[in-house]
This record gives sequence, structure tokens and C-alpha cells, in this order.
Amino acid sequence: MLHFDKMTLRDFGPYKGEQTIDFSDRSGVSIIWGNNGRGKTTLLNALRYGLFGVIQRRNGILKNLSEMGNKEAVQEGRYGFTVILDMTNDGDTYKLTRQLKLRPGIVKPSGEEDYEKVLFLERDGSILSPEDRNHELNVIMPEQVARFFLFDAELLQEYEELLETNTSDGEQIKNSIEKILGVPVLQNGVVDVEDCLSNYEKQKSRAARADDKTVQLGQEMENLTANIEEHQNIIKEKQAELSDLIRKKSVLEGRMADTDKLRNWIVQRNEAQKSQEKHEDELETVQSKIRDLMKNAWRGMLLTTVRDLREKIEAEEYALDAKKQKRTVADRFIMEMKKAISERTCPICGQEVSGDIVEHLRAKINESTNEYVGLSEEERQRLYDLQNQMLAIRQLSADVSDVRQGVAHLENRRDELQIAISECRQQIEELHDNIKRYGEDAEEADVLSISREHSDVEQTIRDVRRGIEDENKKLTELKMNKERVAATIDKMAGGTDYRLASRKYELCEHVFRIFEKSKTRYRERLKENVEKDATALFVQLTGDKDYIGLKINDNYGLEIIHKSGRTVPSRSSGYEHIVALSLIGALHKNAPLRGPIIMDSPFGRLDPTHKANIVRTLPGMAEQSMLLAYIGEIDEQVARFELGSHLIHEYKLERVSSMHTEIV
Amino acid sequence: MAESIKTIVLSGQAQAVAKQMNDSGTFPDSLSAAKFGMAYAIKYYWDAVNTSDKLNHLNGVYDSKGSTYNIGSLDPDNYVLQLMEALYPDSDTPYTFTRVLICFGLNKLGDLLEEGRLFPINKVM
Repeated sequence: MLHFDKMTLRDFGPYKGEQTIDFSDRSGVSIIWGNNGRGKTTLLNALRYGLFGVIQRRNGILKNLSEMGNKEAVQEGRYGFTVILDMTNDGDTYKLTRQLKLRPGIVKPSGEEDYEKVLFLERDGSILSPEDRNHELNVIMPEQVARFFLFDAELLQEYEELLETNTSDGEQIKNSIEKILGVPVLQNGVVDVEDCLSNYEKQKSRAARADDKTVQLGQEMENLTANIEEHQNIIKEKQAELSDLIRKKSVLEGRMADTDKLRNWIVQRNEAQKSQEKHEDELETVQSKIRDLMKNAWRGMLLTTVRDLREKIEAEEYALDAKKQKRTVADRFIMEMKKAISERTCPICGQEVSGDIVEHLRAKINESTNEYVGLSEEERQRLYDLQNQMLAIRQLSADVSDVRQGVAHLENRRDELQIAISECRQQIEELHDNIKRYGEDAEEADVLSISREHSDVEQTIRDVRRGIEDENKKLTELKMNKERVAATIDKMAGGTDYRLASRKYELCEHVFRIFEKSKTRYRERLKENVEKDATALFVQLTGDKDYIGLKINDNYGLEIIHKSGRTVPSRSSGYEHIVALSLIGALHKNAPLRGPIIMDSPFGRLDPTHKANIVRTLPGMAEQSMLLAYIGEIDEQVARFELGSHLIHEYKLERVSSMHTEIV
Repeated sequence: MAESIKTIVLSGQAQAVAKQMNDSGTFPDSLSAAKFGMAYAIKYYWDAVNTSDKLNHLNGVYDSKGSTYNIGSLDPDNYVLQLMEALYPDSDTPYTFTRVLICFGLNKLGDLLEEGRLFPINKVM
């Protein structure tokens, strides 16, 4: 069983200089108290780095390890960092040293390439060769099952995936669960026996071919066997491909989740840029239309002035014209009167005009001549000028229109567009800042290509699965053929060699079936045990009498069972947390591989009662546990009371500066 | 007999306003802005520019430090000439009056520009 005795850090994250945590060789629980930003998750990462050489950040694996170096140490000229783990496993003592240090000859690094990674593993005082070291590390703590030993409890909701079928995350967790439970060992046994079976089958076919009565059938059998092998190989290749693809999909999903916000920002920014360009194009068109209209807008502005002018001239022209007309009428009348005087006869009725009337007519002629004088020569000229002016003025308003309404409409649109452009700019600027701040290390093109790559991988997975189904159908058909041929050979072949080969094959086939059944039964029993142990833990952790247990599914997903026998359909994040802890505890109990549990932020959104329940249950879940909790996450007195003698150590992460934490 | 001048020269101040109006992007060129100024003066300040005497007086007020425009460019279809003849039938200096009206109108538009009230331009049309 793996046990951490001590961890020594040198300039790792905020842990400046050399600092050591003594976990002690005793069984029990250590609590490391630290407020946000002090380095709790960094401690979890120090263990992860020590064991596997990776540092996990919320947004993925840290690419540039040198970033983990203590910033104050760098200012003092010390680059890189070291993690040393002192541990024991099954009676052996180990000292694991992992280091990131400057390459020989480099004093001040200019990039990641100036660092080198160093790894030593001492077992019982002797340094192991790289091959032995890697093998040993893989035996004492395989990376694939690390999730059950070192975990951020805030991420426990990922176990909910186990309730779904065919999700890549769920499949990955299921594989890890089977790995920690030791299922692959039995599976490897099945595969080995299957290989033996295949060899005996070949021997049987060869014997049949050597037998005179079954030469042809033996040949057919061999061909079918070869054919079956070929399809089995294809299926194996496709299954390997499928595993790779599922892993790839999971990585991409992780990256998608990590970069979800960033990708949305980039998409929004690109849309805002497109929108801005579209608005700018329209604005340019509108401006151009305004300029076109404004070229001759001044003519339209003069229309009212021209109209007033025309009305004024028309009035004057009308008055002069009327005066002229009156004179014309009067002239005709005077001419008639003059004729009547001269001829003494009325030109209308033909009667004689008397002397009195002649006098009266003469007076009328004088009166009319004085009253309707007609146009003076000046007035005649004026009328003529006015008429000419009128012609010119009519020209001024011909083909001229008032464009004010058109300009107003365009200016309104221009204002709208300018506002829209300004909003786009502001949005782009804000998004740009967000992208710059959040996605410093991310290449935009990479981020955008993730979802495309993800859908490509999903499509390939569907294709590969379909391919496997097709191959399995062909395989079933071939196997049926083979069984028919084998039955015929069994009836016809009479040679000793064939009978011997056939007996060996049958024996091996029995062994194979035993292995297969054992594997299935082992898996079922494990599941039953995991269900039982998880239920026991769950009941302890919840203390709610309405919930009587957990029910396991094929993926090791756990559903809560109500006392009525029904499953609880949707559960809170707090209960999700408890179910996941119950599963992890049950896995630790049933796994051949044992080790410590190190939990970051172990209490999540739990209430004080459930927090206390977890603390109380923890010593039973693993031989060695470490809790990385912020001060106040759980009442310190409650923790001490619940743990009692199981509490081995308490450490505090104390701030020296924003870049320097001391473990005290 | 109309005057036989071939160019007109704006005042320095009027020219500056025409340039700002052109720079706003609303006018295709300074000359269009200048003619807009002339129309603005006639439409909104007729009482100040309705006689030849007033224009002759103003002509003496404005300097000649602005740009020079060809009559051919200013009035390619003789519209301005006809307008001046219609507005000031007693005058034989239509383009001199045109210059005065442009300078007067642009100065008034310059005041609006200073107060930030020139745009949207449709409000002053």
C-alpha cells in the first residue's frame, strides 16, 4: 500500500525556498488549512507533478512548466523547482525526486527550451534505471487511476457522467474504475487463453487436412480460421482506434469546456467585426448618397424664394396687363362714340343722334380718355421686362426639387449607423480585452478549430463503431460456417492425430469458457461489492433515513434509492458530491491497489452536518488521507472532534507575500 | 451688360467654413458648400441682402484671402447668373453679388458650426 511520508518542495509555486510537509508514517488524516490563493491546489499539483510530471490547471495541463517556478526566487536568480516525495509501498521505501532545472551553461533562461527535466527514483537506497523507475512508478501509482487518489472535490460532478451511456467522459472514468479494480488483469488472462485456443484450433485444422477423409474440409477450416483471424484483427485495430478516438474526443471536450468562454468571445468578436464592416459599408453608401444630394441641394433651397419672386412679378405683370386691357376696351367704346357724333347715327340701333346726345357723347369721350389712359411708355417697357423675367424665373424652378426630406432620411440612417458602429467598436474592444486576458496562451485559430475537430472525431467514432458492428456480423457468420465445417470434420475424420488435436482444443475451449465466465462473475461481484460498500458509506455520509442505498449500473454509475424502492431522479450538487465520495471510498475498499486520498476543497457546497459526516468517515475510506481546506470550510473544532486520534497533523499555509507562502 | 469677371475669390473666413463643411463628409466639395452658403443667405437672411446697395457694401467688407473659383466651375449652366438677374434686376455684377452672398451665408453657417448646430444639415436647409 502506498503511503506518503514526506514531501519536500523547492521554489515550487508560492513555496519559496525549501519547505517540507511531514505526513508521518502513521495512518490517519492530515489537514492543510489555507485561504484562497495561498497554494492548496498547488500542493495537490506538487504531488501530481512528483508522481507523473504534469501540472493540472483548471483550463488544462500547464504547457510551460517553468511558469510554476516561484516568482520571487526568479527575481533572486533561482530558476526551476524541485519536488521530492518520500514514500513507502509494500515494505519498500522510495525517494522520488523530480526537478525542472536550467540546462548546463544557462544562467538566465530565455524560454522553456533552456530547462531540462530531471527524475530519480531511489528504492531502498538504490537509484533505479529509467526502465525500472518507470515500471515501478506505474505499479505503485498508475496515472490512469490517479483521479481516485488526488482530486479536486469541486470537480466530482464528473462522476455523474457514469449515469449516462456512451459518453466519452463516462467511458474514460469507467475504464479507470475497472483499472483500479484490477479487471484488466483477468481480461489479459482471457486474451492469453484465447491465443492458446487459436493455436489449438490451427493444430486441429492441420490434423484434419492430413486426414485423407477430411483433406478438403481441413483446408476449408484453415481458410475460415485465417479469415476469422483477419476479421478479429480488423476488429482489434478498430477497437484500438475507437479507444484513441474516445480519448481524443475527451481531450477535445476538455479543451472545449476550458475554452468555451474564450471561443464564445472570439465568435462574438468576429460577428461584431462583420457587423461593423457591414455597417461601415452601408455608412459609406449613405454618405455618398448624401454628398450626391448635397451637390445641388442649394437649388432646392431657393425654390421658395423663386416662388415668392415669381408671385411678385406675376402680380405686377397682372396689374399692368389689366391697365392695358381697360384702355383697349375704352378705345373701342370711344371709337363708336366718335363715329356716332360724326354720322349723327347710332352705330348699334341706327337711330338719329340728337344734339344733346352728341354733347353728352363728347363729355363721355373726354371722361373715358382721361380715366383709361392705358400704359405709359415706361409701363409698357416694364411689362415687357417683367414678361422676360418671368420666362427666366420659370427656368429657375424647372427640374429643381427640394431634397430636404431625402437628406433628412439619409442623415437619420447615417446617425443610426454611426451609433451601431460605435456600439460594435465598444463591444469588440471589450471582447478583445477579455480574449487577451483569458486567452493569453491560446491561439485563436486553435480555439476555433476545436469544435470542428470535435465534430470530425464524433463522426469518425460513429463510422468506426459501424465498422466494428459490420465486422462482428461477418465474424458471426464465419464462426457459424466454421462450426458447421468442424461438426462435419468431427463426424468424418477418423485419424488419431485429429482426435488428439480435437481433445486438446476442447480442453482449451473449456479453460477459455471458465476464464470468460470468471471475468464476468468477477466484474459482477466487484460491482456488487462496490454497490454494497458505496451504499454503506452513503448511508453514513447522508444520515437521511429516506435514502436507503445506492444502485450501481453497468458503467459503475450510482443512483440513489428511496425507501419506496424508486430511484431518485435528480439530485443536488451536494448529493452528487456525496455519491462520488461514496464511490471513491468503495473503490478504495475493493481495489487491489491501495493508496492515500488527497482532497482539495473537500467539502464543496455541503452543509455543516454533511461536512462533519465526511470528516468522521474519512479515516475509514483510506489508510492515509489529506484534506486541503480553506479556513472556515469546516469548523476546526468540529474537524478535530470528529477525527479524534485519527488527526495526525495540521498545517497552515501562511502568506509572507503575494508570491510567497510558508507551510507552518 | 454683365460684368466680365472669370473668377470669384472667397473671404478667408468663409473659405475656412466651406473647408470644415467639406471635411464633415456631407458635401462633395468646398464649392458645393459655398453654393449652399449662398442659398442659405438668400433663404434665411433675405432682409440683410435684398438690395444691390447692401451687397455692394458687404463686398467692401470681405477680404479676398480665400480660394479662387472659376465662374465656369461655379456656374456651368448659368443658373446662378439667372438667379442673380432675377433677384437683383438692377445690377450688372451678378458674380460679385454671388461672392458676397456666399461669404455672408458661409459666415452664418460658421456660427452654427461653432455652436454645434450645423448638423444634421437637413435642419438648416
